[in-house]
Amino acid sequence: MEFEQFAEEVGPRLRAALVDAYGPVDGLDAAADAVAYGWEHWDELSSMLNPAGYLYRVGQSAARQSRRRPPSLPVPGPVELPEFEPGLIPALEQLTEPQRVCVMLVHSFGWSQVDTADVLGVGESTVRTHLSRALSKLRVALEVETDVR
Amino acid sequence: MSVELEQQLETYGRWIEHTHSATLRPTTPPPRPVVREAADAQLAEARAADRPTKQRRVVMAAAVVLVIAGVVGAAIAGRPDPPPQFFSAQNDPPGPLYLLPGGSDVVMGSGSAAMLTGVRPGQPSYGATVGRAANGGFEDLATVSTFNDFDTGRGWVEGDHGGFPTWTSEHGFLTMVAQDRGAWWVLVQSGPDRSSAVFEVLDDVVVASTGEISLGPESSRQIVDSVWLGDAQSDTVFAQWTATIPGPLDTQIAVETYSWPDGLGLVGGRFDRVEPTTINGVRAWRAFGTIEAPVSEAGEDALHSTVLWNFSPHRMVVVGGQTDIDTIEAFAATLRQVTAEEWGAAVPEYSIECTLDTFERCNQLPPDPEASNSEPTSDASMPQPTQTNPDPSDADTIVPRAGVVPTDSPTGYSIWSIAGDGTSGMIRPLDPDLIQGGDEITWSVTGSDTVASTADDETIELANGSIGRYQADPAGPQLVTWQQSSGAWVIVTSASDDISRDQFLDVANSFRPINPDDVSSTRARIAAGVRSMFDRAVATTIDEAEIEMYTLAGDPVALCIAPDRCEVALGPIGQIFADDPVAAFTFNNSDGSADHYALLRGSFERLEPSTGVTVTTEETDDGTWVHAHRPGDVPTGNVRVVNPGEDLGDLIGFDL
Repeated sequence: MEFEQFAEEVGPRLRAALVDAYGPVDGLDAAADAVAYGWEHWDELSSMLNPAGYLYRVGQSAARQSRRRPPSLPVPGPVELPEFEPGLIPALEQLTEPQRVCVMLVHSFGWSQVDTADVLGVGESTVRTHLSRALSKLRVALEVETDVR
Repeated sequence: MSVELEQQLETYGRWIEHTHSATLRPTTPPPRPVVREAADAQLAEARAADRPTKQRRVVMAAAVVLVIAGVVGAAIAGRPDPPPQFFSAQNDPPGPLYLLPGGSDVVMGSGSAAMLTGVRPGQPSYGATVGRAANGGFEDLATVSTFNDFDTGRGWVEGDHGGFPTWTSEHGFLTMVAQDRGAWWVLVQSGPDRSSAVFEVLDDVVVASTGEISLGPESSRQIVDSVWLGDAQSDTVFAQWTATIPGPLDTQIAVETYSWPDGLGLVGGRFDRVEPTTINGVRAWRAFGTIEAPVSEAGEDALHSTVLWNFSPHRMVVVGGQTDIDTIEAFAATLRQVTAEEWGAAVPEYSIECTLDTFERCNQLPPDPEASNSEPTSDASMPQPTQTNPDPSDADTIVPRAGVVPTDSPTGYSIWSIAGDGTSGMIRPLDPDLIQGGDEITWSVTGSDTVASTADDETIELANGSIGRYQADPAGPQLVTWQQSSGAWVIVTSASDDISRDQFLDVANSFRPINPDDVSSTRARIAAGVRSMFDRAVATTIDEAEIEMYTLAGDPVALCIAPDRCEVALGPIGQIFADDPVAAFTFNNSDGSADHYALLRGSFERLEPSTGVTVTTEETDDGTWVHAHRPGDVPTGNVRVVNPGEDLGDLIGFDL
């Protein structure tokens, strides 16, 4: 596979994952660094079993080195999204990084659990675990009744 | 919330995508390859240029080399203590390769190597590592180099500093500033977030007409080391391997050799402080730093104690590990220097030959049987390297020689899932109130330990006599132990911070190694244990296939005893936004048709129009989902249908 094809396939997932982890500003910067790193090291990356997962870690390193503030998710205004639950943002920020990344990749950006596991370099069961815990925490934080009988 | 949680999350994702003009979700046609316009431009520019992009060939006469050598030689005499070192290109060979000595009890792990051999074009340049003298060493390190020509195309931002055109970049995990001073370019590199430091150094740098670097009299720094790079450089090497020093607390070691002309800045960019020492009579440095490499092969903290050996500003040997600096230095002194040929014969899996012209991977060096037989690393008692891929996430692709699973669950816990090969799984507390709190404990068995140690690690002796490394932070409770009998690492983790140390160790102490042949029987025993934790609700027979359905904390769970007939489906714990928790499954009738069944409000129902419940199925990338609806299209639940044998993660991950 050529790098351009790889970047087309993996780029959006990589960006989404790093945005979920570090917010749009730092996340997009980290994704740009990771993609550029991928181009520079494509010879090495192309032989890996999971180059997408490797680049995600490169992006994580880039974000952690440049980030000087806690992850901050943007807050939509009431006019932009009148039905939006404002408590969702702080609830998302309270999640652990893997939980936030998994729940936003799957539910906010529509990636499958298989794709999510691939880009994060973890197993599908790990993604399911993070999703389950993340949704549970969000429900508690937002006081959503689970109605289990 | 007036709108369902998942819908809120989706709305929020679309809003982020819209407001930041970034493609973040699957689309058709495929999204743009890079994040932003700037990144697109970077990619296109880099694509158009031949690698390497930073150095272009400039011819310099041999007479100039001789003149410069004389100038530098004179300059060395006047330098403060410790005296700077000068290496000419001819006297600055590639970084040497090292392997374990004969008879070592150190266990070699994984590794890789990349080599560019033959003469490659370059341009003459100087390089120097500078720093502030402090407490017998040097701090605030940076690397300075000069070039006749410099490419500021990709990733550089143009500006002005001190009246000279100046470019800055943080691309490549270094903070860099490049300045065009006419005949020579000056490049200063340091670690991340060191923009003020690199400008301080830039202001201090004095460049002679020959390109030689010195520091102004007002500078608070001094030159630690310097190098002259000619216009023809050869034998670029990157090689690394990891090893384990066995002991009460196993120590992870990484040995890396860097040597490439483009690697100027390695020392200044990677370490905060160096202290001079000698190893086997050779000048070396004890180095300290918290800066992460792009990906550290043996864990983020693996190199927090490091010895630099045989290093110049463009090459170095790094011996680092998760232990104190004295241990690392003593270990480095035991290493055996080998030639590239000896390396290739001893660890053929690590040999990757590349040609300069094509950058293509060449065939691995054929192992020399005689040489291999004489190498200590071929000792059958040592685990042999099994991969060349440096991706740490691939560690679990190494198949352990045996599985390790819990034998008896400690009081208050039951096994909730186990992977198909018996090498990973999850234990949950029986108390239903804790289940949704995430107090699960997971275990996995891998061929190598990829977990970084911390200074607060606690050495634990487990009931089976193994020594484990326990840490409570930073990622939650975690215990790593090497099972000598099974030849595999066991890593026990919990994502919850709430679980107590005693609870955690109770679970870890229940592990025992097993033979792979015993895995199936062990899984059956575990399956029986799983059944016992449920309140059995309904059992029936459909078309001679046994079906059992259980509830746990009010949630239904279905078990199909005939996996060739059923596609087991499980209602996820805590089904939300559904007026009925539901467990359902698809049953393959003997006539080839299929029906859906579900447990609704405690009764076992075949889902068909006569019950008033309609069922639709949806094929997605995540598998098949069953959506059950009551009259009025009120959803009763969305249940994923799981294929037999599939690892169900935190549901039930086994087939009988």
